[in-house]
Amino acid sequence: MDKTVGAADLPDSELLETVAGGDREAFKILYGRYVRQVFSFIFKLTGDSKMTEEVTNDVFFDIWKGAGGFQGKSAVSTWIFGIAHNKSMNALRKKTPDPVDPEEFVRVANPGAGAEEIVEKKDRSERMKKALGELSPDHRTVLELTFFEGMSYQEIAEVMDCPVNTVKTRMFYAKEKLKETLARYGISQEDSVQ
Amino acid sequence: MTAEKISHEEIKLLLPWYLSGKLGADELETVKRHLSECDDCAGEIEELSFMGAAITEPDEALDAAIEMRLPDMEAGIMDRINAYEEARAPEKRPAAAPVKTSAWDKVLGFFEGFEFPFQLPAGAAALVLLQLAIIIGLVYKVYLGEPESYVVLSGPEETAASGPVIIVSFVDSATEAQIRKPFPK
Repeated sequence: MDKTVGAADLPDSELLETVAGGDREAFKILYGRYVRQVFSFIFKLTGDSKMTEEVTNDVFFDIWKGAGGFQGKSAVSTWIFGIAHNKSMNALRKKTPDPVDPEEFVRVANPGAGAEEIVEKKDRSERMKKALGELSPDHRTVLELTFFEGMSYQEIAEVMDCPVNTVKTRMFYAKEKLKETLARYGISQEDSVQ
Repeated sequence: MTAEKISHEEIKLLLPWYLSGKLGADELETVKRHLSECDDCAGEIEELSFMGAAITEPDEALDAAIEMRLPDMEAGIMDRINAYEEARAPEKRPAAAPVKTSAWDKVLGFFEGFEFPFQLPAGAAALVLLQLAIIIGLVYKVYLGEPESYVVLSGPEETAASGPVIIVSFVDSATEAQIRKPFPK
């Protein structure tokens, strides 16, 4: 039997067991399954492409080293996102804050002189990114994991290593904040009905 | 938590997961029932739908960037894993397949080193060498080899003593005087 073809059909948990046995081909399959989601998730948390590549590499290196310790108490995806979240938070804590472009900051913070022109110039996607970028990493995490990754609040609590009620409260505040930033960047509900 | 005990505020906190289809059966039923009679939560659902759609909007630039970087990233993680495994203690690595090292494998390996037409003369030469070695061995055994029995100066009764015994042998040409010389009485 072709080992690679067989491994490609395995569910995540069995694939991870194979990885724990030192199988690099199985690892490559798991990598292929998750790298895009993990990269995208980290990038949305950090907003830094270089840091995202480094953290993604660290996440998969931890998966290789820790595959044998996975006990199956949660889904493999929850475990992987837990590592990604933890590593992203650590990287963000160590990061020196980027200098803010004062001009841009003023334009965005004061929807007065010329703000409408600037908003019109930006395409909707760009503005959306900026609006999300103003949220705290915790708020971005709950929104991303809920709407993008389709996780339950219990799974998100595992990923973020916090009580389920904290997840619900973070979601509440994330939603309030996002509502405010979306409005500030000119993205409204009426706008989306096109 | 039973369905009856969930308040309006608690239900409001569950709405994002109602929308993403990630509530358990009991909670789902409660939320559905509540939504049919609560305008505030119905409005909240509309807002959340809009936010959810905005968040999940495909980011083509990001997707393209990931695809472009993937080969290098995969090579990078595999290099890191290989270096890590190289540096690890051998006993902690997954066991490698045993290497064949028997004498027969070595003989076969020797002949595998020759291309086909040269295997026959090599084999013939090996047979000739083997015969020659046997003849030399026999000649040595019969005419030059060690005797089958040894003459000892001390008698068997002395070697019957308990404890360690050292047996010393001498060349055939040694005389008794030469043997006794290092051991004066």
